[in-house]
Amino acid sequence: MAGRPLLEVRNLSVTLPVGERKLHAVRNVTFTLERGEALGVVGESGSGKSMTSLALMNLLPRNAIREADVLRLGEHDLLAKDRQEFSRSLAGKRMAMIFQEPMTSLNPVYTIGQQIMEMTLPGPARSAKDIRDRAVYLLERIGIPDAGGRLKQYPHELSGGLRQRVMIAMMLMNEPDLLIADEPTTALDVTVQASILKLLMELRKELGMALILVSHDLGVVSQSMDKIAVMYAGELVETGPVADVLGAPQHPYTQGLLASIPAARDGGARLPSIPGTVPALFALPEGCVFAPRCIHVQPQCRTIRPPVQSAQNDHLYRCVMAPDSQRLSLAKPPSAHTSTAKPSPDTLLSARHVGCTFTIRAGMLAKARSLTAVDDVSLDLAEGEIVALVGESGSGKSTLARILLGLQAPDTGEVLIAGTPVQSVPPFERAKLVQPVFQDPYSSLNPRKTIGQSIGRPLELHGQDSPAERKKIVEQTMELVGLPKRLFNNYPSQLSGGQRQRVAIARAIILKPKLLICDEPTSALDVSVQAQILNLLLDLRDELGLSYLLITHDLAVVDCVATRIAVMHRGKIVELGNKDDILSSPGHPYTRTLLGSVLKVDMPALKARADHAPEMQAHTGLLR
Amino acid sequence: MSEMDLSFKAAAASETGGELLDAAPARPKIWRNILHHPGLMLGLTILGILVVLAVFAPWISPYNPYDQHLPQRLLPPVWVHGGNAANWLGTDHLGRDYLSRLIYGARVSLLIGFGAASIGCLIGVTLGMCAGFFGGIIDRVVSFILTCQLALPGLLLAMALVFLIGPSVGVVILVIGFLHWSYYLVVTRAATQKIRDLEYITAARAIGSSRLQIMVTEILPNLFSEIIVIFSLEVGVAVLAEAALSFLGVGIQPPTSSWGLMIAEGKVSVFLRPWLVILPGIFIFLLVLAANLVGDGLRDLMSNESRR
Repeated sequence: MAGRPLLEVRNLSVTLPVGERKLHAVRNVTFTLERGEALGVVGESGSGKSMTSLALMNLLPRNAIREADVLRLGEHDLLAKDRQEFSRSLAGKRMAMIFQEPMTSLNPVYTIGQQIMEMTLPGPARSAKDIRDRAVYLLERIGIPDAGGRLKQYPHELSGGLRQRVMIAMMLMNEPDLLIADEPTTALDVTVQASILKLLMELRKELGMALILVSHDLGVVSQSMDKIAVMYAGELVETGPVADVLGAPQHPYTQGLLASIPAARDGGARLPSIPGTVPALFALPEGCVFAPRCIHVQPQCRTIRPPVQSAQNDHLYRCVMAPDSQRLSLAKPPSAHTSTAKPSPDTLLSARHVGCTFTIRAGMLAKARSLTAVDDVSLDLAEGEIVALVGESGSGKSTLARILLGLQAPDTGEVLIAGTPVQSVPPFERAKLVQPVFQDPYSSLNPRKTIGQSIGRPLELHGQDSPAERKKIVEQTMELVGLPKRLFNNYPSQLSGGQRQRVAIARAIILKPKLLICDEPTSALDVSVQAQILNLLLDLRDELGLSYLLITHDLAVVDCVATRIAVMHRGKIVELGNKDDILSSPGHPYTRTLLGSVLKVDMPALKARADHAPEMQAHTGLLR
Repeated sequence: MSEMDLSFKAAAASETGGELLDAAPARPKIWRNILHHPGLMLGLTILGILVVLAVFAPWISPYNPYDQHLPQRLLPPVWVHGGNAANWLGTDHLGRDYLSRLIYGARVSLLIGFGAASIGCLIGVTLGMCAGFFGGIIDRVVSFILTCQLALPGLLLAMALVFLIGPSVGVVILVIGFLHWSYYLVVTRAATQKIRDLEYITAARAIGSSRLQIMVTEILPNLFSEIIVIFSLEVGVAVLAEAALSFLGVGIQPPTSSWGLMIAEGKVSVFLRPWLVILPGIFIFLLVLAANLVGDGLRDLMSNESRR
């Protein structure tokens, strides 16, 4: 037993039959995990990171094919166990898993007490009372006050963050050796995210448990993991100690991923981005999976599968290029913004003491409760400005957006657009002043309309041009937002998330409005695509003189593009000012909490960690 | 082949800064799926044959279905002892050619099936979309109407209505149609409620679309798949309702040929000459089966297509 790692995975592959084709979701993934070690698995959607964790937990779809040379947890050979045997002896006991969606991973018809205690059956070793005591202890330990009383509560009575804590408590009932957390904080607000991660790390140390944290967010992984594994298109492209990999990334994909993270840039310069998106691997390419998107691509990349190379002891990567710490920076993005639009004094949009209250009635006879979604909000937006509206879910951001768009009348106060109250502007005129861009690129396009129809619909409705002219304008707009013209007759289901968001932006700008209200325009997108869309928004501001109200919870995005920030908390704007002022010296306690919860990839700290490690000597040119 | 395609496209896409795209065009795929769905193909084939029979009945049927030959009444089909090749499926109690009457019966059944299903569709979809889109008081009123409709004994009411107004094909279509819209309503109401809150509806409002425009151009096309499925199932229901009404004597009146009426006319001699009942029964069965197969098949295909 001694010397054997807790988890050993060698050449794990997962294949999913899709129709007549086969999707290679995971290919030749090899890694080991020691007892008590924390591994962060990062990658964009479609990279196979979730499939890897599901394969470990034997939770793959029934038709999936799992192959591996070695797959063992301690002394247990996971390959030799079928589903039933696995769930009887290991699942929930030696290894446990937490899922992304706390709203659906608890069963709504059982109390949380029933669900937690169900994890352990009473037996000779444990009486029913022991189990209850442990459940109460765990709930208290994970920060749920009055745990004894909470056991009788149902999941719907708890907030998302509390539910995720309950999930963690459930999984810890049997003190597993390995906990797999698949995007455990993605569905939660930033402030809650930080506390859940902290809790996971504390519990890991306390129980000496190993942790695999799957996330798309490099910031989350960089914080407290020991090792990191970067996945791309089903392959492990780079793995090693966090400080090494993030401090001196060797694989071009890791480098691109790090560079795509929005950060403060001078005058809203473009973000470096990785062109293209993660491919669906139906056919195994001969060469490197990343070659089509790689900026360092060489002829042999397309023909041979790159070997696994070692940069330092444990720092491995799959690329043909020799390790070279100096080759860090991406090629500079082609066109930097030379001029940033100067905010002109003209006020475009102005909200005066806007308030909005909803009446909620639980049933016909229940007493009506009122909920104040927006409370006395005043906000001005000048031409050429990018104002970021920051706040958590439920803070009233989206309601305010609807009011500013003129789609909903405020209960109190008024909204002036170009000097006129928005409610008295005729809908067609209003449409030429302000347009929305939404978060979800899947629900913002009508699935029954082609791209050309969707983009051209505003023109058609306004009846300005002949069909031929409309088509020309639509094609010009598609070009402007970086959509190839050949997509004109395609349906949204054939497009990637990033492309759909471009379509939504094209539809919003085709009437040449002055202001775009963007509600979380990039939060449903992958990091590298997010950078592309943010660049597009900045480009359009310069070319069309657009202004933006950018609603977001992501302070990194704000830091990257905004000129002013409005922080919204419980329906009120608690802080409003220039970006730099607010980010450097936040005034309101809530803003400070928000800023404190941001998990960034902290390069200096990582470098410091790297420098302290003795074996991290200059190791470059190992294979030269 | 697809490997080459894929890698080529990936390369091309990355050069233009574009993204990977499943480039298969949408329309031909649907046709291929139809061909690969045996149930749907069977249903469409049966339905197609019946439609051809109904439309070209005067040219296809060997005799005039109304010509009586009393000396040759109640002839058995050709495969039963005593049958002859002149009347393949025999004759009825007035000596009319049974095959010809069955072929003409397809006209009535299909007309009533599609006519009644269309009327029900119009009522149900309109009410359902209004209830789902506007919500509030409109939704409550429509739901109340629906509850009333569901509480009515359908067939009895149909009988009473047809009896009062006077039986004719038009009346039967209207009455059956007015009594079969609840499924349309329930499904379109729920689907509209779901779509109403999607972001593309908000986007349509932001460009100045009116409510009617949103309902017709944005929401309705998304309901087509559900509506088509219910429509094909309701065709079967309406055909059965017509058969029941005619069997009970309040539907299609003689001498017009209807399958339900033929069963009613043959029921007196069901033990001696079972084919008089079984033959029209088989046709009703085939039509309803075909309608249900098409409905189920379309539902399968539509849910496949809408899956992202």
